[in-house]
Amino acid sequence: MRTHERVDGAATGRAPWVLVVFALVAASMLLLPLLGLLLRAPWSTLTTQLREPDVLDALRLSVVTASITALICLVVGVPLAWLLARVDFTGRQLLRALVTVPLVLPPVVGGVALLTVFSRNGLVGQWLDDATGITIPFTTTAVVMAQTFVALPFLVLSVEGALRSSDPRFDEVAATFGASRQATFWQVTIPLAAPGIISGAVLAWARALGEFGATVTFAGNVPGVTQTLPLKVYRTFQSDPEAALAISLLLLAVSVAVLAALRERWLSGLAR
Amino acid sequence: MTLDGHLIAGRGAFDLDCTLNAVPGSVVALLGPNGAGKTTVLRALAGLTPLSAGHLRLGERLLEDPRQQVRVTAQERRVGMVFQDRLLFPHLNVLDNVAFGPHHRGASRRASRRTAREWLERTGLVEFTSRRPHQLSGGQQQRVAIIRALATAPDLLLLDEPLAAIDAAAVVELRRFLRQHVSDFPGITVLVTHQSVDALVLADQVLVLDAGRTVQSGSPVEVARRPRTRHVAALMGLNLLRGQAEGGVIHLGEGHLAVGAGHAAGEVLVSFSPSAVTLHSHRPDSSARNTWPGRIDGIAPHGDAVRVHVSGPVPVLADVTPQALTALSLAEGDSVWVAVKAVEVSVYPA
Repeated sequence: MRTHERVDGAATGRAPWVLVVFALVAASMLLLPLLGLLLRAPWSTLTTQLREPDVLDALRLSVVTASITALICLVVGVPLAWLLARVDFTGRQLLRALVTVPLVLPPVVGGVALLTVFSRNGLVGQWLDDATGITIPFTTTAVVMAQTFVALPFLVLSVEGALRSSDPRFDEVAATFGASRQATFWQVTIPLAAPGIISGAVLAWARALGEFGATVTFAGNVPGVTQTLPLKVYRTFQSDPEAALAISLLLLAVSVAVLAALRERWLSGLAR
Repeated sequence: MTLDGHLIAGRGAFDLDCTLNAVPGSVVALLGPNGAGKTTVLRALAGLTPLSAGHLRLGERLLEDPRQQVRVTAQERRVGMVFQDRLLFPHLNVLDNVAFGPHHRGASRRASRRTAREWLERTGLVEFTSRRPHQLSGGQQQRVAIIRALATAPDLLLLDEPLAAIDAAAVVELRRFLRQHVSDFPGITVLVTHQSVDALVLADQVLVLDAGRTVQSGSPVEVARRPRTRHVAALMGLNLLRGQAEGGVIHLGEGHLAVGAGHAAGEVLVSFSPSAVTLHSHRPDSSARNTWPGRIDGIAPHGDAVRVHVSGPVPVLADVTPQALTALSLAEGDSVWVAVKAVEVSVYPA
């Protein structure tokens, strides 16, 4: 990547004050709420607030469901990314566009969409109920499905970007040495794209951890079963704002930790 | 196991159509300008670019024939390919890079590592065994890439400009390494090169490609002495002119110039070394038929001599001594008379 030389301010003149003002407004719009969270957080009672059994339940549920979601995203998302990056087929552009829809779709719409398919009289849910008696909505499974719906595009785009930026001729080298396409995938393609795969999985995990709209619509807000941390924040805020602040702080800490872990990888993985 | 190929492949504006025959133990060098189709030939041989027509046979085995719908995949061809930019697997160390081929051709992981270690020991690369490719210099990477290709004991060794993009100091050592291992290799080697010296030193047969067609093929000596294209003449450091022979005289260009040599008739090619050319500030008296006027376009040092580019109706390169240049006090833009020593000119049918 080319790095630009810093332009000497003396040569180009001072930055126009209008731009500086708007830039500062933008920065404060992002930072002020976080600052408020830090200032108003109940620091003295933080540990006791977070040790409440129902908070721990929500935390456990969040971590478990987000981890399962990340795993599912890896298992099905990496092959999808590979298909989009390395295999020529008709409709590839369309499929790629459709995969990114959940990125811009309001999550609550995603939740409604999932209900139309998996509710007891939905497209698949009806058949599932008749055949096995299983209903998905308002279960922990539904939490994972809602999270997967919103998190999968992050992983697919990240991995596809990594696959596109790694030299496809390594696959050809492997072929000339007799490696089957499957062996090449596992032993050449995946290791070369590993940084993008890791950052994609972390992104998917973080997105799943923060998921609210699709979850509350499709899975409801049942403590211990579908109440993840963001749902807990929403529920608690009406009764006990201090507790809500404490949990929010926890989620903020996790987000910052994820960002720190990814650093510039998050950009290099997504940028194409 | 002889190679018998008629390679026809095409994509859009570029198409390749060339015949390639070789016997075991021989080395075929492919010469030609960029975009001539040299790399496409290698890719077609390796099975990475499909043929659209023609055929490819290696010994008894038909590797490809679109008419019969035969196409042996790259995986099943037993070809060792060395890419110009090496393409060692960056996530594997040198040992596992070399073991990759033997392993995927059926050896167990352990046996393939043993094979790789033997190759590295035998070829003096054992010190690199556990290094990653990025820890090696370009020349070292290329040696590992050559060994990686040889470790699978291929029928066909394909080398795509193995000495390009290597710094000058390492090229000498790498060329020695390449020569030794190519001459030990019992199969057929096809070498793409930009450097005439590699073609001359390594090859038994030289194939000159231009725009996807064979424009000349023959022994290295023949190609070096009688180049048929400007590109090859330039590679060999020769002047190449086209003319009409008539009664022992060859008319070049606009007909007012001739070089007396040979007894051919009709269209001929004329080649001579730049050192066979002398420059004069006035029309020389002797052997007047071998002289013509021109203008100096450029002057550049060339070894111990000075290479002078002379433009005009018959453009030539001349190598003169710095002393001669000073004595004539010639500079760029000056008019000059060119004289060619007839005995050093080689004339052959076009």
